Amino acid sequence: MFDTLKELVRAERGRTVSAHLTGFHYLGVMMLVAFVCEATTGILLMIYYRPSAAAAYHSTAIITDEVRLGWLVRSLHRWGADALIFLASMHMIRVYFARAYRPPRSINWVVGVLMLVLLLALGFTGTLLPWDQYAYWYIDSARQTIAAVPVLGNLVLGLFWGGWDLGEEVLLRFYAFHVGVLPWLAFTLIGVHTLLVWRLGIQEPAPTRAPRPEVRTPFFPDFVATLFILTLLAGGVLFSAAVVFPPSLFQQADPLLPLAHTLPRWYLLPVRELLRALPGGLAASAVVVGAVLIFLVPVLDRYRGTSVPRLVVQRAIGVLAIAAWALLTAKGYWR
Amino acid sequence: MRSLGLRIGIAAAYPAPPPDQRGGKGKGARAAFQPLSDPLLRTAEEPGTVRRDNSASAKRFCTISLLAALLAVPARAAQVQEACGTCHPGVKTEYRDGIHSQALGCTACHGGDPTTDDIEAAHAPAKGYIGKPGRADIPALCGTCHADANRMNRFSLPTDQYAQYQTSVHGRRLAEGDTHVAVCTDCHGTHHILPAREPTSPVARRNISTTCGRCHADAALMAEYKLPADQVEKFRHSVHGIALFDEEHPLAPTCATCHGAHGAIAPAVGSIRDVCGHCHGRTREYFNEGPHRAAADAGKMSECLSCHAYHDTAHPDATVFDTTCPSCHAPDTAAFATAQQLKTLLSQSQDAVATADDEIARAASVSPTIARLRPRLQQGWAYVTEALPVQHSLNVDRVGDLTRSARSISDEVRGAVHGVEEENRLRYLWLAIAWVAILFTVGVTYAYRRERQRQRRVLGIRNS
Repeated sequence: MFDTLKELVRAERGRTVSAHLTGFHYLGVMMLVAFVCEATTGILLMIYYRPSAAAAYHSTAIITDEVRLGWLVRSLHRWGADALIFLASMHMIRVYFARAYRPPRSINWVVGVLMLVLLLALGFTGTLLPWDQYAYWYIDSARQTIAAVPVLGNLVLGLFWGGWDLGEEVLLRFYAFHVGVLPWLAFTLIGVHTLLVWRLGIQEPAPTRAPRPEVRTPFFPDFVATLFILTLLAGGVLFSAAVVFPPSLFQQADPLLPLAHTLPRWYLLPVRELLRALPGGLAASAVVVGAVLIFLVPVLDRYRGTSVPRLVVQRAIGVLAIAAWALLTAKGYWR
Repeated sequence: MRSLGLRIGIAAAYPAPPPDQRGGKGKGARAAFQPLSDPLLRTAEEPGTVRRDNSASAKRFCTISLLAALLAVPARAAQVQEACGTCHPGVKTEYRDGIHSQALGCTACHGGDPTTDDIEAAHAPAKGYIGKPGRADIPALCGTCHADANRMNRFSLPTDQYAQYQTSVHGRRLAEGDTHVAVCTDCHGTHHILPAREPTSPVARRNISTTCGRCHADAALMAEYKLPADQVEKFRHSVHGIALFDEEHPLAPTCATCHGAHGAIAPAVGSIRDVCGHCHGRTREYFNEGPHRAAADAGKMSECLSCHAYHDTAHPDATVFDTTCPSCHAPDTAAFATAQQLKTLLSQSQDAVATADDEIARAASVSPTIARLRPRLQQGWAYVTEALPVQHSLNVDRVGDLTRSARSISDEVRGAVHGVEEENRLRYLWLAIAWVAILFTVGVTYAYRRERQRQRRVLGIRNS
């Protein structure tokens, strides 16, 4: 057994990557680090958090104010979730423009998009857990949005709400999904995704000025050293955000005292703006169709060449989608 | 019109008795004030009602009763039909908005015939007209209805006001012939009488001191009775007045709380602690346990008033120990030392809890959830609040236990607040340290990576 392991390590020590990788090629691995950070802080929070309507808020307050460095763990968990979704989005954009979704990596694109959906679901379910006014009324308003989505809306409502009004039962469901279902699904998909990347290698950058000499660097330790540097810097930014802007805790959730205005998390702002701009059913359908199209990108893009003029449509669609997303986010934020 | 017909019918069935049968003495006769013409208030037991035993009268009564049942209309509508307002429109308007208009007509108090427009006939003494009741007769006139359980029962009103009034200083003086004292109309008004629950009523809680002040703030009038005329002004600025007018405390006392309303009287020495004890029950209990009770019983002190004054009772604070205690106790006595001990204990505990309260407010701007400590601090306030009445027992040990508990909670809360504040301060220090460590590690790693690249380049050149 040890011989096999030694053989494996020896083989991997010889692994090389292109010397022309940019910082964007490290996003996927940095996501892995961020996921480990989320899992660690999440487990630490679970030690003190109590998933009941009577105790959830109080236990969150205790984590924030009484547990030594509890505020930091909570803050890192919150900012880590945002960072994870941000990194996933950037990673997906990089893969799209690099057309790294083409065979043989098509399945990895689908797995990656599924992971993004899972991360959004993790962020959504986690929002309710502090059980403060923002959490309660944000999730309550989201219920109406979800209900407007044809077919899928009722499925999601059935899963997360189970037919109950927002209360103890729903909180327990959200908690169960947040710590018992979604992380394990994400963990499995991350495993599959990482294994596929390991087996297929990174989609290396296409030469911009042909011909470029093939220069390769060892995975160990050069690639890992660069990854370490980027992770440290990203970790420093995350730590700074967690320290300087710890998440607030509003008053305890009060079903009789509605909050007039609840701003969704930044990554869901465009969805809300879209729902506001278009009639309910149409907007929800547009979101669903958009998500399906993202899944089908490897199928829709059948061109195998690298001729830039023939890729104008693919690039234009990408740029327009990003611009629209950014515009809707800005509009929602400054509304 | 139905109502008018009913009135005429009843008037025919029960004609008003002649003045000599009412036991009255002319215009001011008390028995003449019966609301004879008001069918809705008339009862079989009503004085002044003429009973007839013959069967014809009984039949007529039955017929009229049946008619009354069939034709009954709201009493207010009945009042509108009275003709008095034709000549007295101002009074009519005033009266219409008062509570009495719901059940009484003008004739209930003034007598006369409301069914005719003829001035002479309407004001005929034969119809029981008495004009404006004399001041001396007003309490009895009001008591005609307000002391009658049958009449008051439907309004859920007490019936002891007249009896209480007769025991009051006002009532006793009136009985002695002093018509300058307050009678019912002085406080309640005449035609436009409003229930106490109406905010504009002169007997509404917030208006009572002004109503009392109409006489008791009149220096000339009070001089006749050798009474001060500054009580109302003093009350306005007292702790009770502030609670009533500024803080709108629902339990804040008014003049009537201490003096009584209809049975208004100055609390006698010996009963003051009981009067104050209506609200300050715990304080009364502890006062009775302490040595001051014996002094009060012996007439050596005026109970609560000795330290807290009256009418201008100020919010008690630690200065009370310095201003009032020396008036009875010399500074070198054990009693004075006890007072100073109590002062120290109470001041320390109040300051400690107040400081913790301020620190929570200060820390809340940085850590909003720090407010969760407030319920714990409230327990500290509860010990202080308990110690305040207990101090009247002059039991230093007991007060010491309570104030110690308050200080202990305060220290606990302040410790938690300081911990949070300290952590807030330290977090930026740690952030700076973390960045130094990150940048150092990044620098070292980058240098290592550059060195490896350089070595590879050198190796590549050599190989080539």
